[in-house]
Amino acid sequence: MYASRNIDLCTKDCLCLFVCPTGATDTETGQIDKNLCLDGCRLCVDACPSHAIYLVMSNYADPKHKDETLAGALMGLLESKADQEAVARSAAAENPGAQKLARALQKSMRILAEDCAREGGFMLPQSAASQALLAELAQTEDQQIQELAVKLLEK
Amino acid sequence: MIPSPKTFPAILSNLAKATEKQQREDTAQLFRQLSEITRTRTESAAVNESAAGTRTRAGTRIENKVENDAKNEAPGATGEGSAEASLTAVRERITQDLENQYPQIQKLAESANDRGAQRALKWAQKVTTLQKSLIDRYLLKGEELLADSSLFVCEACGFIFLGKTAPEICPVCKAPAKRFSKVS
Repeated sequence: MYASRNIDLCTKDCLCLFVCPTGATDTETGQIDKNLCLDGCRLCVDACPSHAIYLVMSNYADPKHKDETLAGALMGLLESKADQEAVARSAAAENPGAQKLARALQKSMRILAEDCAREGGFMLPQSAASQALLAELAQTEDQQIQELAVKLLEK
Repeated sequence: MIPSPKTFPAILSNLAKATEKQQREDTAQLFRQLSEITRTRTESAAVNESAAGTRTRAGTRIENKVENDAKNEAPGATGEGSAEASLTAVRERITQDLENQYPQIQKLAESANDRGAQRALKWAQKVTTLQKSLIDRYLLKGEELLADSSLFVCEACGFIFLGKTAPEICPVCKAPAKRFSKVS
């Protein structure tokens, strides 16, 4: 577990620099050095007046159990959104406005699809469903897919 | 249970986002690559499938998908169609989702007492309704609709906004303006 700074919120009050026992918060990049950060120390998190520092976990709890029928239906909806994204992608480049609208729809469909994936059991790469998917992809004949999946399983 | 290959690109791009938030950029990069490759594979498979005239699509759990499958062969499903035909094809599909999929899955989510899924479906239903109205406005007014305005997409929920600048707060999910990205 280590601390991380959200630059959008940081007001440069520097209290994190005052309290950090290892100097991890004072770096040339403006980011906290996670190798110097003490696991779970959180002095900087509590000292920051702007709530700009948070802790990144190294382990995550198992996600809550998903009803299988519901998860299956969400995957069906995801498939529908993937189809719609593909249809929007196939739009020809004749009118700039229509083209823009098609691109917006592609992006929007993907975001909806990702939300279905999240609620359907694929919230985190650490979840059982995600690991099973990677294991499956590591078995495919397609070499590019196989290689990437194997690398991800090793992470 | 492994879902159908069509779902892989979005599952994997979502895992890329999750890994970004865990600040593991190298892993996120691998997930993004894998997402893109599975997408191109699925799309070329769809082109081959329609060329061969086969109709072996993986069914989903919601029964009324049979009707959708017939629509998958409609113009715009594969290859390049006119922009207007594609927009009309998207419109038809989202109308079906609004009429069948959302109400049915919402009921499942309620009976499973899954509050997260209920939230996702509620946002998706609003976003989809607004997508449909935007397509309708385009089909009615044509290029004029986008003449002096831009499109912005909310990265949190997918809401598409038409205007000069992004809204201060997303009307669907309440994300702030900086979560909107402009469509180029």
